[in-house]
Amino acid sequence: MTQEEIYQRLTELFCKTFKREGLVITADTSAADIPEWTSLTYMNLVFEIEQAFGFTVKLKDMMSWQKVGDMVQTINKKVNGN
Amino acid sequence: MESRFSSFILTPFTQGLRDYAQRAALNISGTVYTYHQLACRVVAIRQGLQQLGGKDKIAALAIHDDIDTYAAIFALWMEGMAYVPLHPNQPLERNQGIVSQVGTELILDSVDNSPYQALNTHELKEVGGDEMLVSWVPTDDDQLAYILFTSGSTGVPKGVTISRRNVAAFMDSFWQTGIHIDHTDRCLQAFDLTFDVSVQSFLVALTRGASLYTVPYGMVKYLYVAQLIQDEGITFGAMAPSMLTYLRPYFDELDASTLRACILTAEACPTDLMEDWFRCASNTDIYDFYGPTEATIYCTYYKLSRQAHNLSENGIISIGKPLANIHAIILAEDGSLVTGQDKGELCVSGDQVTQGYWNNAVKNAEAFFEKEVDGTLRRYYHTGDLCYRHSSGNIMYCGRIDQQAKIQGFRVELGEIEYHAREFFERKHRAVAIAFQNASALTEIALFVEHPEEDPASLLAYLRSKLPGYMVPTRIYYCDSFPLNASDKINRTQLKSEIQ
Repeated sequence: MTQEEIYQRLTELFCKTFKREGLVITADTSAADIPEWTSLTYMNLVFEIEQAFGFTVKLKDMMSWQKVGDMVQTINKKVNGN
Repeated sequence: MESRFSSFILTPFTQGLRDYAQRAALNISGTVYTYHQLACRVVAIRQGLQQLGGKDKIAALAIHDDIDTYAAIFALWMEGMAYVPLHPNQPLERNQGIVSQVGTELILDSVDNSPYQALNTHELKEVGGDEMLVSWVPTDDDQLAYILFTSGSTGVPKGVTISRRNVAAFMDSFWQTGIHIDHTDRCLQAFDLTFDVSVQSFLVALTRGASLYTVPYGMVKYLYVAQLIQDEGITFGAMAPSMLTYLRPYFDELDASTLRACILTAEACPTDLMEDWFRCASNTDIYDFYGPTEATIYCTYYKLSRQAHNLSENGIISIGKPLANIHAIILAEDGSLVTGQDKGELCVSGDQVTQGYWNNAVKNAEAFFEKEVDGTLRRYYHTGDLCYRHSSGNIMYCGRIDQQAKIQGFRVELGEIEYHAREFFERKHRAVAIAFQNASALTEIALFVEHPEEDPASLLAYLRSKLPGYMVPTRIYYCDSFPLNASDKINRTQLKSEIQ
């Protein structure tokens, strides 16, 4: 899976979870940029990521996710092994 | 004679500023501020307030996650004043409504781009002022310490006035529970300053020379707290059970071995969650504390047992016995005391109970009453909580008796959400807000609107502009007409059953 494909899929998950059509995410996007990003929606987002990319998200993964770019790095590692 | 507020708050706080000057008072977003630095900010803000002449007795305080906000609370108290918190993430219109209700002209803000005509505390520099750490304006315990505005069913927030006597009685009660905090502790402050558990969180730490760890705005709270527990070795903290519900899938990964004591509060506390939390927090004493804002933070508590059976009702841990300064009774619908283990409304009395809502005679007449119990006439507060007394003397919580819900620990009048939804439709359509538990046992709000189906985006945007984020419904349903019950009232039970 290319980085671009990961971003594309992740964008769909963000739009679905935060109920925001056309939401644009970049490596620098963080909770501060999306008002709907709360504990509840974040839990839903993590669930969607697990379903979509087929791996279990660990607490230490989430703790390292300051920005979307960090998420993509983890997903890339789990999905592509690098 | 020293006031109780001075004995329990100002004296130990100022003693700590001197005794622990080089120790960490606050840890905010990874930055450590010593008690000396905190003392300097308290002095600077006191000097700034003195220059204004002290006309106002109440100051609105824009609450930020910064040293000046905490320093300002103590500076105001030392100047004989009270604070009303204004949350920067809540709609400006709501905050301005609160300021005008209180009628103060004094607003303190620590940021340069304040939306208010405010005293910018950030610009204040202390000039000498060592004497300001050992003296303060003598103030009667009847004077206010803070006013917290909570959701009001008429669409206008209502202010709970908490006096210095209330806060002192609370601190006295708290220390009598046997929880011990000293300067070696690292304490958690995971609540917004608009919510009264924050007052417990910072007072317990900062009157004992301990370090206080705050949670910045805009963070996923449960993750940030998990990180603080694990990386900073938090030893004591109050949390809402919902925060642990979020963390529960990760308990086996979380190292909470430094946590000595943990208070669960602000929501009903599920038994099964606590069993799992005991396994994760292996060295922790766990307490369930209960209380409405009107009785100053907490009024009953139950210490859970790690080995023995814990008392519960429908899977909810007992709220335990009254604190030292609280007298609790359970009333039947006709206003008489219940007998045996009958259910009724929990009503509380004592020095922790507020003198009333700010300028709200109607609400005060409804919420407070006098009753003679055991030969003593006392003034009680109706908590609105349905409870019964177990044979052990512990109080069992069975739910709300009215239309309030708790979301993330915040008390929400569903009527306030309905009011704003109706306003959006120019009062032409009815709206019903219903609290429900989602699959993770967390409370959410669904809004039903009697209106043909449409894109809810503009309704949601309107509600976001009027209400704090936790009050904005997470689901919107449109119905052509509401189902009615036998009394021709909207059938809320049927509507609730439609929530998926």
